[in-house]
Amino acid sequence: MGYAVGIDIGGTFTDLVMYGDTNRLLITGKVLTTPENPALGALEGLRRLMERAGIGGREIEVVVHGTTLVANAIVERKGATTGLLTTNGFRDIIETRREKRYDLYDLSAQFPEPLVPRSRRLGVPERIAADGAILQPLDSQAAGAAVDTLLARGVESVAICLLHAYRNPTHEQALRDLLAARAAHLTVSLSSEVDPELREYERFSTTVCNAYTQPVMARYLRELQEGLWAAGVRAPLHIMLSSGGITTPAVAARFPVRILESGPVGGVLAAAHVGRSAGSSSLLSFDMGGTTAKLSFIEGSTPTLLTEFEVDRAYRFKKGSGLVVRVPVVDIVEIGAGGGSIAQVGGMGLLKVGPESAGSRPGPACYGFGGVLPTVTDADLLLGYINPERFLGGRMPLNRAAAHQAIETRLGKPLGMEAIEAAWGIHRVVNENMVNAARIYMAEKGRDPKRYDLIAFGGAGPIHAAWLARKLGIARVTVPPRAGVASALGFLVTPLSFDFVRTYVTGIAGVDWSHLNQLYATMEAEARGMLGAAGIAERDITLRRYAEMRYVGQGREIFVPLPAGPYGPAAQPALTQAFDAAYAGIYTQTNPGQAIEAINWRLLASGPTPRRALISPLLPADAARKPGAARPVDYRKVYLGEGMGGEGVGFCECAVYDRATLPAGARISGPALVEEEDTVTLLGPETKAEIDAFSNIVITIHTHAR
Amino acid sequence: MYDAVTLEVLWNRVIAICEEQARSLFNASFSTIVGESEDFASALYDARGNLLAQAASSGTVGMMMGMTKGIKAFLRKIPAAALQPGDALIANDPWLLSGHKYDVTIASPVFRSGVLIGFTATTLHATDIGGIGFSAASRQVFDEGLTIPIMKIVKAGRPNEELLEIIRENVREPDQVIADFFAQLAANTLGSQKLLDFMSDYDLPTLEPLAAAIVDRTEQAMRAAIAALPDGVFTSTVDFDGYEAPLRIVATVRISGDEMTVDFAGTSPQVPRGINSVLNVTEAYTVHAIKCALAPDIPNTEGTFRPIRVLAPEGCLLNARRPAAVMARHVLVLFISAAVFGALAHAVPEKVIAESGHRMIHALSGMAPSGEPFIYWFLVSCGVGATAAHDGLSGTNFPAAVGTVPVEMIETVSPVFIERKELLLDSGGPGTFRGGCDQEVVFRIHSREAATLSAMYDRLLFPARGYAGGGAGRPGRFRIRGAAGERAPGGKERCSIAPGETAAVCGGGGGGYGPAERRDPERVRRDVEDGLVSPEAARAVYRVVLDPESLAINWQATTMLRAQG
Repeated sequence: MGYAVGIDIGGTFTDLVMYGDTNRLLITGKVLTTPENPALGALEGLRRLMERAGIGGREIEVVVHGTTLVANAIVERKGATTGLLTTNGFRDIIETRREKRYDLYDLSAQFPEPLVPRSRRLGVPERIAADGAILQPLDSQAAGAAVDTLLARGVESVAICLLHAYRNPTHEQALRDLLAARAAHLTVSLSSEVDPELREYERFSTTVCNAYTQPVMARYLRELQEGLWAAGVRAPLHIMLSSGGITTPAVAARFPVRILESGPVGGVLAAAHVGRSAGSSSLLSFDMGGTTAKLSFIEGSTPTLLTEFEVDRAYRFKKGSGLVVRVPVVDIVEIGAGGGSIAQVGGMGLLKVGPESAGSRPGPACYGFGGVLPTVTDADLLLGYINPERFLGGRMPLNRAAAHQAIETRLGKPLGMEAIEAAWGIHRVVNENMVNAARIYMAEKGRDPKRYDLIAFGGAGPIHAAWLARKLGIARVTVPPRAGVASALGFLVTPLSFDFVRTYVTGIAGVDWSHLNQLYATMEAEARGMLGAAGIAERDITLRRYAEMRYVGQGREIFVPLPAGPYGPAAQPALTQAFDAAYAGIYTQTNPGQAIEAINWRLLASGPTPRRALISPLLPADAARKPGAARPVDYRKVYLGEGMGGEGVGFCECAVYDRATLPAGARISGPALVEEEDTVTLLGPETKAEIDAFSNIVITIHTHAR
Repeated sequence: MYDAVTLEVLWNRVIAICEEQARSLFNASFSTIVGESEDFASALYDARGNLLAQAASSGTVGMMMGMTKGIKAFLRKIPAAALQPGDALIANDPWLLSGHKYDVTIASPVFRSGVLIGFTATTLHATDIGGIGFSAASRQVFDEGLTIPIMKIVKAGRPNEELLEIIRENVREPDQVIADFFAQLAANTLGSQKLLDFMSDYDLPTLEPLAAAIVDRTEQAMRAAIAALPDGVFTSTVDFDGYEAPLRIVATVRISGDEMTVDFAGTSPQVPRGINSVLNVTEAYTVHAIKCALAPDIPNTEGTFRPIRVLAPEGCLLNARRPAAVMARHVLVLFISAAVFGALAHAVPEKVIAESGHRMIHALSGMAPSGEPFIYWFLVSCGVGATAAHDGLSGTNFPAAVGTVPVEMIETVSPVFIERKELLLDSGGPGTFRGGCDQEVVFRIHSREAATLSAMYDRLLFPARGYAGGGAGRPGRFRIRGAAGERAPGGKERCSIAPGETAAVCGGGGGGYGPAERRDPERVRRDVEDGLVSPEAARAVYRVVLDPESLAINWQATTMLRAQG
């Protein structure tokens, strides 16, 4: 009997999921993260799960693991002492970046400190041209001296970043050999391997982040692997990637930058899975937690990818203020809107919500941990949406009076409003902030939100989801069960995959086909080798090709799925067609006649997607369920305002359901609340919901307004 | 009147519409300068042309006033009665809009049930606009390409083909230029639709009451920020290299209650070269500096600018009279900013920024080895001034927030070859907080014959000054080196660069803030270790003594040296 295990190590909690592929037993767990050695907490959590399931290590068939370790090492500056070897004359690229301030008005705007200080950034005499030609051979003697200097300065890891190395990696490779000969114990990251793409700041920054975290990651994976063996687990350990695929520990240890964003990605994968089982493939995943809300759109059941993101932002939500990491990453937009978001009277006398958050300490005023600033959770409590006795399954009673006091003194009095009116204001403003962010995000992608279904999770998501949907013109909202461990669940439904990229800038009219075929042949051979080594059979391998293309003159490329190769002159119209289709998909129209060029050529190689329904165990013991209509467990007064659908403004008596007692097929009419351990789903007037066969709450919204 | 919640919700929505419009334009535009530098702007107006909101994520300072006042200028020429659904207006008049012809504004009137309810508008830096091309060498505005007066580019849904044909025949990259106009039109249409949706969502018959509320709030907030300053008259004078001879900007800031006047009387007269500024641009950079210092968070609306009066004598550099040449106004805007900060420094020294190095721009042209003609330009950023709390940024653009093109991209798409791009030792102005370090960019041009470098440089003669006792940054430098030796051309010259010769350009370090001998010795030690400050400067300027081998601070010697005063 085989079990799959998902482990998601977050900043505060480590979430675990165990699923029996044949007996459909699903057990979930949460333990505190052990920051000093995160493997300890994970192993302890796993031990408890195995105990609960009554199984031994041998019954586990696969362990999929995601962790914030790499991001934390960067943000907390706990990585290795790192050196940088670069082309002579270019050692400040990671400091001057794109030469651009990210805020037009803030005079004190700073950037995060480079991970490698200037004293450990050394130039070596060499030069490669844009076409890959060697203009100046590598001066090994001078390079040797530079290596000696770095060693004398105590480096443990080295990033090698030479100009145009994506076209010709020989100098970077020669430098690696030189390093290995002098100091075999060092870890080394080559820009031509970590991120072989044009644009030096992005490539250097990514490679430096990789070098900086490589030793930490290698050590950690070794400990985790040894711990698993000690627990009798012989199953392969797979590591979650930011791109939504999974990989082997060997690859993760070589390229730790690729796993930076694995946590939030798990949530999006879970949303994609929920959508897949519910038969809808165009989804907007909406995860609203304590500090932020995250939105991500999913097309054809597959999350969309971006080619870069930022880590360690000086301003959390400000693009351009972080260290750029250019690796494939699921496209997620983060908004400063969560349960802990603070409401205040802003400089212009208006009610502002977020992006500052009270976090979990002191947290919202109603937590009773000494917070005095009103938050979204305080408002939701006052409005009757949150049950103060059932918060976190009743383990943490909330203080309604404290919430009232905070809202009244900080907002009501200065704005001349009743406390309830102000609470309703917080609810409206935070909802509209998310609606606006979603609109801008979708506009940026050239998408119409009306075509999407919303999948809502996170502690605060299901309270605010119906509003978001109504304003965006979305007709259906799905709230999956077990939303609290969505990320770890998502880990279990994603395939093993590897991605590759090569830069070859060429007009589509003048492609050197044999060169391009050669590029793909190399990438594919590498891909088959890696998947084969991970135990994937040849017939289960899927290879997909993409290119980043643009009209000549445009500053921005788009992601274009390509037909299979090999290519010849006959492929030219096919590539043009592929570009036109992708372009029209985003911008609705094309510019026929305008020349097209490609910058990067990509290959995505993956194994089979695990077919795990993850259904039945999500239901509580079937015996506890009585087929038939849903029956409220309680009634309470809930504030219904304009914008929720329906006319009623003010407190109304409202039915409260316990999610655990709702059978499949049960129908609920709003206004109503559906309570569960981690969250509560709010249904406005004129809103209907049904429990589907997968225990999802499926809400139907009648959209009149846009 | 709206309550504090409703106004917040409505206002955020109109800002969001501007952002949606901006993103749509960004996605669809062709101009490289838009793609790499986000040199475009997006805004919404009521039916009278009052600015409701502007996208905050894009737009240069130079476009700010053009976007604020532009629609009213359009309405003066083509009144509401002459507009009908499906119309769109276009113009690039530097005096009415954003100060040079490259910035083309397209505005679309929005109708609801046949009634004009507002406008959506976008401005975009066109790839080309004809004339002598991107250069400071123009003598009159006529040299600078095509002027598009305010007229209809679309009439009741039908493009104005005659106008498009004239434009097509007058610019170097007609396909890109025209395609960008259509990208602007598409973005405006999207914005218009969103605006109409918004009005029906909230049952707003007109936008005027909302516009009035927004304008009032921003005006009040700006007034409150000004009222917090001490009353008084503060003057600052900034000299810079100019074109053939040094030029001067004088800014006198008068603060009285909740109003402020900035008067540029005493500024040099306009020059017969392209570095003059129209009043809109002068106002834009003046208000930008004031907002940076006092109220960076107040959104730009009509009201933001009301408590601030900007005066400049007609015919001076900062209020150039037609037909003055104005194309390369970017050469001078740094000094408007510096003059305003300099005057404000007397009132609120802790809120300003010391002077910054110059953003060096050059246009390169010639014949590539393939025989194809090329035109290419990129910019070199330098050291930003320090503030009362932070060191200045190194190798970064200020006061604009525009990035540069990556070295690898430059070398892939142009015949330019970069030899070096590195920060310079001892270039940041000394101070308790050090000015940002300058960077030097050394490049060659692979060309068949000598190529032309059209320089738009400054700060070669006048370095960025420090504030509050901080020292000046190192001045910029421009050299051409070849087999025949080295020469030092002027900062606005059109120079010939032979194949094999190199140009070395740097725009100067940022000014320091506060006395250098009060700088934390540990920061000085790190600067020395990082090769940004020499041990000699550490000792002579910062009065910090380091062990020559280990670079450890010799605290005893440092304390003694600093005590000597």
